[in-house]
Parts: sequence; structure tokens; C-alpha cells
Amino acid sequence: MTEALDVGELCRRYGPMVIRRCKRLLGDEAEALDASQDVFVRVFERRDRLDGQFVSSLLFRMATNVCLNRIRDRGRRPEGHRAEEALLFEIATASEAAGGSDARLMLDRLFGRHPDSSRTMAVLHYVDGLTLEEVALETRMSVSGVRKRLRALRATLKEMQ
Amino acid sequence: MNDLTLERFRLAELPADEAARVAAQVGSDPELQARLSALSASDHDLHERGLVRQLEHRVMTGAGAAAATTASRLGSWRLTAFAAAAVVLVAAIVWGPGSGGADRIKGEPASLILYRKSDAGSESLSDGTRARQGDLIRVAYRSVNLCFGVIVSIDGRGTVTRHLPGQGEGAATIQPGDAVPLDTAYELDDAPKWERFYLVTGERAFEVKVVMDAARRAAAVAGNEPPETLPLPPELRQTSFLLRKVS
Repeated sequence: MTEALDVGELCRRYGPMVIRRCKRLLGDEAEALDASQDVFVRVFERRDRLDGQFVSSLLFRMATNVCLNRIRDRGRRPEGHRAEEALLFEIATASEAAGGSDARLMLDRLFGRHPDSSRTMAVLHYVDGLTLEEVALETRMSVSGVRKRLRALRATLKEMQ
Repeated sequence: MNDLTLERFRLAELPADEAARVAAQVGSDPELQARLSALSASDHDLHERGLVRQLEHRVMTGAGAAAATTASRLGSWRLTAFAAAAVVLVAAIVWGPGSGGADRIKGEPASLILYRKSDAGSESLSDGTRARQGDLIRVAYRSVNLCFGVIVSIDGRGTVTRHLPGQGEGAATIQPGDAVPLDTAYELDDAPKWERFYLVTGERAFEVKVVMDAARRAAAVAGNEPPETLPLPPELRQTSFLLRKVS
């Protein structure tokens, strides 16, 4: 998406999807609307990096990331008994993989690559039910790369339990 | 089938082969059909309740976003020590009489504000103010809406100066809200007669070159009076601020 970005049109076309996504993850419509606003502002700010990706795919992942940050910032475990809520909280509060992966992420940023976070991948796989291949397609990584990132994140989750 | 695939299918954003596969599956699966119907109903509901319109409005106007960013952005004037005056300046911008974010941003969608360093600290200038060589000017902009913008000036010698963005080929992103000063102050040189500043904005991204070329064309035919407007494409808006040069 290197041509002119019509933010209003983006909101009208993709807004329902983004609001739904945020509401599913956050469980609250008002907070979902706040989070949706963040998502579209981020897309606007990063418009130079929208290099031919399907917008829906990017917005879905960005909404996931924004919501994970909000869940983490809540700072408290969900009180309900929904397994999905508990899993989302665990993923949101897990740290990104340490050591070598940090170095790789730094190199990615230096060379202008902006890979999705391991947490976002974890939500796509463990919460949304995408296969590793589907996550790899979405995030434009290799299947083995996705598998490594998820394995490292799961190790972090296990440490927390 | 996961939600993302269904959402992308409805938005016609699946690769052709995958879209065909999903279409075939939907055709024979009542549960998938029900899920698609539910998504359509949800779209309708969100539009009917005004939530999509609300989202659009909030994104375009920055409602709910922090307004008091001027303090952190003003910083120092860099050319001279100006910290104390900067605090006063920030107070004037953010907490001035009759202010409140919504009142402050009525009227023109985007506007230029110019400040000049003075013995008392700083002063807010009016369009047409007299200024002289050596004056330190701080240019700020303010916008009601999220948009793209470029700031240039033309002086009485026909020189075109680019002020925003500092670098790059594309117009800067302009967030709605209170006045945003440029990072550095601008010292007026000995160019005679006048210097006019132009803020050009657009709802869609545009190239700085469009504005620079227009400014150069305007500068080439300017005489004793500065061009009031730049010859820009119709989709771009402009506003300007004039300084009259005195000896």
C-alpha cells in the first residue's frame, strides 16, 4: 500500500472487523473502540511499511498486538473462568524470547524488517486456531521460524506457571 | 475455519486459490454459512449503532488522544537558551484564556502559528507582523484533523525554504490537537520586504516536491508583494502567515 492512504475509507471498510477482533480479545466494547482507534492510528503512522500486504491481515495482527498490550497493562488476572481469557493473559504477560532471538530481532529492525511478535503468533495459533503454516503465511516467516518462536514463548509461559 | 480467514474472505482479500477453496467449503457447510451471516449482521449492527462512524471520527480528530504534547515537543529553541520562556509559551498554548482543546481547534482545519523570541521571553505573532533580520522565529502548526502536511516559506529574494518535514520525500503526518512547534527555531536573514510561510495539507499522502515546485513557481513571479497562495492541485489545502521585513 504505497499509494495515498485514505484513513476514513480504511475505517469504514475494515472498522467492523477490527472492532470485532478487539472486542473478542478485550471482552469490552468501549475498550475495544479505544483499541481500534489505536490500531488505525498506528497503520497511518506506519503507512510507508505497508508493502503490498493485505490490509485486513495486517490490521488483524495489529489489533491482536494492541489488545495484548492492553491486557498486559491491566496487570491483573481475569476473574472469569473462560480458558481463553486466562490463556490470553498468560500470552500477553509472557516476555519475548531472550538471548539469540533478541539479537535477531535487533537485526531485523536494523534492516527495516518488522516481524510480528511471538505473542501475536501465539494468539493466532493457540487462540485463533491457525495452523503453523497459516501463521507462517500471515507473518511471512518460515514454518520452522514460527515453530522456534512459539517454542521459546511456551518455555517462558511454563516458567511462569 | 478461523475467524481471520472468514473475515478476509468477506473482504475479498484472500489469494484467488484460497478464496475459491473457502467459497466451495462455505457452499456446503451450513455452520460456515451461519458464521458468515453473523459477521454480516455484526457489520450492520456496528454501522447502525454508529460505532464505525464514531471510530472514524475519533481516528480523524484524535479524540481521546493526549492533547498536551506541546510541552514535550517544544524543548529548547536550540539556537539560544530559552527554557523558561518555553514553559511560559507552553502554558499560553495549552492553558491560555478561553482554551480547552475543543474550543481551540474550531475554525480553519489547519493553521500556522509563529512565535518570536523577545526580551520578555517570547511573543505570539500576528499575520503581517513586522520582523527584521536576526529575529528568531518558532513556527508551529495546528490541525483539527489527522492529515499530511508540508511547511515552506518564500522570502523577498525569491528563496524557497523547506521547514516541515525536515527530510524525506513525503509530507509529514500531522496529528490533530494542540499546536506543535517545529524542532528548531528559524533565524530571519537579510532578505528584503517579506517572508511568507505556507502550510499545505492534504487528507492523502503527497510529495514534498509538489509543494516545493509550486513555491518556486510562485517565487519566480512574485514582485513586491508575496504570493498569497501557491499554485497547488485542488485536493491540497493551504494557509499562510506573512512577516513584513523592516530594516
